[in-house]
Amino acid sequence: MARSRRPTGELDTELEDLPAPARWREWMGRVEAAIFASAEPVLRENLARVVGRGCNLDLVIEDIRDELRGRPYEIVSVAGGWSFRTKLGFGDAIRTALGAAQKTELSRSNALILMAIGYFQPITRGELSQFLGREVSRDAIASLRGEGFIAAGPRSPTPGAPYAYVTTPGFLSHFGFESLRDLPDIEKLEDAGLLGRTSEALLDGDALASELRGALGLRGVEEGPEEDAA
Amino acid sequence: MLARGDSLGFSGPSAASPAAFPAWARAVEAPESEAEAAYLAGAALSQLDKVVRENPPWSGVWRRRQALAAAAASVLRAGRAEDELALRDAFHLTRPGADPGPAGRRLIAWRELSARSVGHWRLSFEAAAEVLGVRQDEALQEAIDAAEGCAGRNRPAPFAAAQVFALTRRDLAPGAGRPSPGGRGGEGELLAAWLADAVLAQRLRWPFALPLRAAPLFAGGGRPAARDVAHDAETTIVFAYAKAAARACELSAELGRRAQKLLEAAPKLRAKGAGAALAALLDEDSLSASSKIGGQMSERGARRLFDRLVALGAVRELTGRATFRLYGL
Repeated sequence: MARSRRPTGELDTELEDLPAPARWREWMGRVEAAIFASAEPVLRENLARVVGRGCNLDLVIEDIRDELRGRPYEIVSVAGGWSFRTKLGFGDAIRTALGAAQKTELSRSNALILMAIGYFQPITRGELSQFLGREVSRDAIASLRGEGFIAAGPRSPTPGAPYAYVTTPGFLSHFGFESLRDLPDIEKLEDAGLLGRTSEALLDGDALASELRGALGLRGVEEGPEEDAA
Repeated sequence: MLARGDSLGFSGPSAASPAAFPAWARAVEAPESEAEAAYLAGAALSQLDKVVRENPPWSGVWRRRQALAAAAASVLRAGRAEDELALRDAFHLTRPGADPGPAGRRLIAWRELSARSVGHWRLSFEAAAEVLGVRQDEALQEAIDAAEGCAGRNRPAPFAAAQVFALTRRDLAPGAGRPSPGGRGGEGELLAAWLADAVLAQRLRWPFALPLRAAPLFAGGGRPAARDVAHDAETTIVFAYAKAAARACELSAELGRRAQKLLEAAPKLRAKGAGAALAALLDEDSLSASSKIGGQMSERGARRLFDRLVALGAVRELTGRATFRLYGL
């Protein structure tokens, strides 16, 4: 307690000795530095600790964004916080310079499983297998859980009470989505009445799988690592 | 209780239920003017007011059934396929602390509305926003302030609620400042309806809030097209409250009858902890045998008790399944 309090006690957040424009610049600098230094999205409450009480964080972020205009990276709002990301168009350049080996490169099949969970959560491994038309292994699920993309949600009221899986805030953050509604082409699936589980009929495998692949073209998957390259 | 439960159960509804909802106050068609809508809303809300103030022993079930209906409508509106049974499953089959999924989260958000007394709706609202994953930002704060402002002024309740809905729906528009995802009902719209219900209850000085706004608003499902503007119009919202209040009255009458039946079955139960189980059935939308009831009943004992109540016609099994059964009034 006492240890964590001391640094914030020492940091002058109100900066009353500075004239207003210099104060604002200092706040902008602090917020930008904190976001830059963090690998994870930085939450509002964390940023609120480094600026004055009367300071509007959204305006600070807007001003930083304005300054970054024209740079190849930007501050994006993901998973309830803010984070630096390189802009989309530079993905190829980054890959060429650094090689294709990004640290969390999903295999194509895992990416398909992950997107299916994203759209149809909560969904069990059995339903996923039925839906994708092939066995989804425990290993595949374990590896997605290991990456922190999915978590166990409600159990399914079927024999054995298997867990149905849901995506995590980490999933949203990694792919640059703010909420599930940002998934590509989610409206097509909504209009087709495909989202979510009904209580009786579960998913009817093949037709849906091809529809899903068609609707997605796996686009979200390939964009992921590019955006993450910051 | 000297009378035999069964015969009384068939003849007793009048004794158990509050006065039937008057046919003249029932809204049939869309109103021709704002005055008509206001008249119907006033009549229906005053009927509803009687039941709420009486705070019957089964008001827990009632509030949670309203929340369930509101959640089902919101889920439909969001373009998802879950029905009420799937929502109940998500609620009962998720371990504490785990994520119940997008539909289950909507149910929990609506249950928050009547989880605390009306005076503390702010706390409940923050909990609901958190469950839905909506960020605590300026827009949310402005929505809360707008709701508090409307609750503090002296407009009649349904108009105050309509105003809150129109104001906060704008503040909480899906991803403010982001490309709009086509105007389908997002979490923000749900929260606007939630605030409207909270303000209505506060203006009516009710002890608890009742989810009313969502069901008529989202009943059509899908995406609001050109009528979107009309959705915000006061007349439309006030009329929606007239219909929702009438429906809530009907549900209360039905639950009153069922509660009466349950209480009549009570003397036939000899299980230890039967009293706690009855109280839980009057408080919760649904229970599973593994719900902790009174702390002293085993899962097996609870299942036997519920099955006996089903056999007596005092409780329904709600899933139609042989396993993972759920019981409720």
